[in-house]
Amino acid sequence: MSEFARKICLLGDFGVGKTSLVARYVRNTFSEKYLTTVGVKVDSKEVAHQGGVSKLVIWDIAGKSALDHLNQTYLRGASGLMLVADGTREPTLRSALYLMMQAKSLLQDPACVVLVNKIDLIDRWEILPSTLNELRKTVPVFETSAFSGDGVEAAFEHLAAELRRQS
Amino acid sequence: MNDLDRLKGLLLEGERERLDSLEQGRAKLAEDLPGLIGQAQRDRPTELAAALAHPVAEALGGAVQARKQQLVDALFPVIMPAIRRSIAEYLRAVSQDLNQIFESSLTWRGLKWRLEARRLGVSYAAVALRHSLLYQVDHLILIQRESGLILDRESVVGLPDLDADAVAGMLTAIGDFVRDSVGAGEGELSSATVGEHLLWVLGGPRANLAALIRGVPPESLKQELIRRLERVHAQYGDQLGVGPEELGSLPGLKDALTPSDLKAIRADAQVEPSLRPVLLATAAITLLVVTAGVAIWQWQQRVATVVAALDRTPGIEVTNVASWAWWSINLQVLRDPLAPAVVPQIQALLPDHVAVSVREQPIVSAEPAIVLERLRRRLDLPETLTTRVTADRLVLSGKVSPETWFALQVRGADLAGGVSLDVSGVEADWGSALASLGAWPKGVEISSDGIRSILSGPAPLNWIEGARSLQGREGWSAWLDLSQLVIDRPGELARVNAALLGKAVLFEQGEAGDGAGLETLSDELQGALRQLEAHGFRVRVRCLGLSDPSGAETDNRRLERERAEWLCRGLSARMGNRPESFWHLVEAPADLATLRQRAAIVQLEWIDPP
Repeated sequence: MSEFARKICLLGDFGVGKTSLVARYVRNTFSEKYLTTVGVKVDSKEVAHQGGVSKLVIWDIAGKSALDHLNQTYLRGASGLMLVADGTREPTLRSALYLMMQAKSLLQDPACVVLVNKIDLIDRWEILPSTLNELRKTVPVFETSAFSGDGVEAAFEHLAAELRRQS
Repeated sequence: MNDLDRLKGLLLEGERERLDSLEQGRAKLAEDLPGLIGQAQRDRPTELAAALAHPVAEALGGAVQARKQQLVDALFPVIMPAIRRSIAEYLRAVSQDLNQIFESSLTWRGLKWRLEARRLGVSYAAVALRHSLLYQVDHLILIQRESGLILDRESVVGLPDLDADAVAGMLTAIGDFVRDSVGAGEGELSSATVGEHLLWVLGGPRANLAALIRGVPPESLKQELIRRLERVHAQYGDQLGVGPEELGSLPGLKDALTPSDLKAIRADAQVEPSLRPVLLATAAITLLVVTAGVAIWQWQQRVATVVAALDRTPGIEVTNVASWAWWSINLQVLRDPLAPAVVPQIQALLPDHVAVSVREQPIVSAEPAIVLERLRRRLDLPETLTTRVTADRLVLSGKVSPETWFALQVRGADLAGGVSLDVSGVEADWGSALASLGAWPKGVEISSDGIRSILSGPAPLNWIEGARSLQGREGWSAWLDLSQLVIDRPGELARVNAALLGKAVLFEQGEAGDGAGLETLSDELQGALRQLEAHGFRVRVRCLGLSDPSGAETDNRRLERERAEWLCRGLSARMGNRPESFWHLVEAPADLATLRQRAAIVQLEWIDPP
């Protein structure tokens, strides 16, 4: 073990594609049934980035628009947050931002990225580019597709690099 | 100072001095309090304890409410050893219970453990537990309690890859889930069964220790893991809860679970002295003994088979057997000389390499088969003779020569020894014995009166005379009765006539005198008459003349008559004292007319036909 792993949490509304993003990216040690039972599924991934190689422990927390007590417990010790929204459903972006604010209140200066998923369905997007441009001024935003994998790796690499930079 | 002040001074001077003294005493109270408490502890400890009990309890209660985590952190290293000691005491009690249980067992392994316990000076239960609880700690993971991140990890080399980070995270998540859902905020996930593995999660204030164990670990392993977790907390304390970016600065944290410790834990499971050599030796000896036992048993079966086969053989009786398994065999047998040889029988039933020696003692066997063989050889019994052995006798049946039949009658019982011999079904073959006399007369039958064979019925005279001659010559009189044989009169006359027909007197053509062969015919006729008349036959002679087909029928009839007359006269002259009526002229009967030759013949006929 070269260095200690970093815990990141995926947050987002139901059906935005968090689990699909993780499935696209990691080796899936555990079954997805934990999401519906325990409410979280944990995987790990070694991410190569400009600063080197970091190990991320990814907590895929079941989709909700707000954090309940148990989900708050799952957030403990997280160094990074990955907020996921569905580009075809504008309200999911608001939920993601609300979750980010809620999580930031529980954590100490976590690194954050926002993923707007389903770019493969760009024709049906409800989120306006101007909204994303405004959002980029405060938090890194990645357009991703769990279907094609576009943007997923870049988002994880950016978050890993940010976590490395913070240390 | 005005009057009022002076007045106050006068009135309150003493009071002010007392207040100042009290103020000074209060100021010195903080300095004097430890000394005073110490003095009170020495002088009046009971009163002091009673006075402080309530406020101290109140203060501790307030501290627990206000700074719970600090109190836990402070007490954890102190309280846990006490708890551990308590658990150890409990386990010792359980061990004693098990000891009582195990002491009631008297298995071989139990005795062995009992000896080991005596040798090591420990309880039997401790030894039994140590031998019984085999385990291996496959993975040992020190997990940050808050984040679920791995602080240190050790795994057995060679196991399949394990995503320990994900496992640690899920363990933490599930622990949180359990605590939040079913533990009412207090309960902890402490153990679980995962396939053949046992999962232990030992909780600490800042870190948990997860152990994935294969097998059945002893309770002492949990104590060892708890000690290790306590040591980590004692060494790092609150620092275990810092973020991952700061964890790297904690010296030696990544070696908190040192490989040597993990190996030591595994070694505990392997320290157990191996019984494999003893088991292997025992198995080998057992296999050897079983193999030898099977070989000896198989040899004994073979020997029993040999003895049984010999005992079944007529004329052989085994009296003693000595053998060296699959090496040699020595037998003592009683054997009738007529019984089959012993050694080939034994060799046919045993492997070639087995040495066979037989000591024979001759006997005269009374077994029916040997008796029969003895009879066959001594009396030359024919193979056609049927033999049957019953429970109490030897039964013979069939036809034998008269000599053999006589021998059976006379010597059979003696040759049979103690065996009852039944020869009632044996018949003398008189047909063969009298075959030299010619064909067996059709009318002659054989019967028996139990002792003798009786021939009865009509037979040719010469056959009867021949039979009587043989009877006298062969000494059959005691066994053969010919008295009921009678001469076949018609047959005898026909035989004589046939013989006389062959002695015809021949004439020249057209002649009825000077026939050739009269002398021969006369001799034949006289011989026949003597024989017949000797047995009471009364016959006379018919003379018949014959002619060839040539010539006139009338001349031929005349010639025939003349030739018959000539023959009668000639024979009468030669045979002398025969009355005239003895000679009788007849014409040739139709059955002789076919001869159609120039001859004259004689035929005999009954004077008083039977």
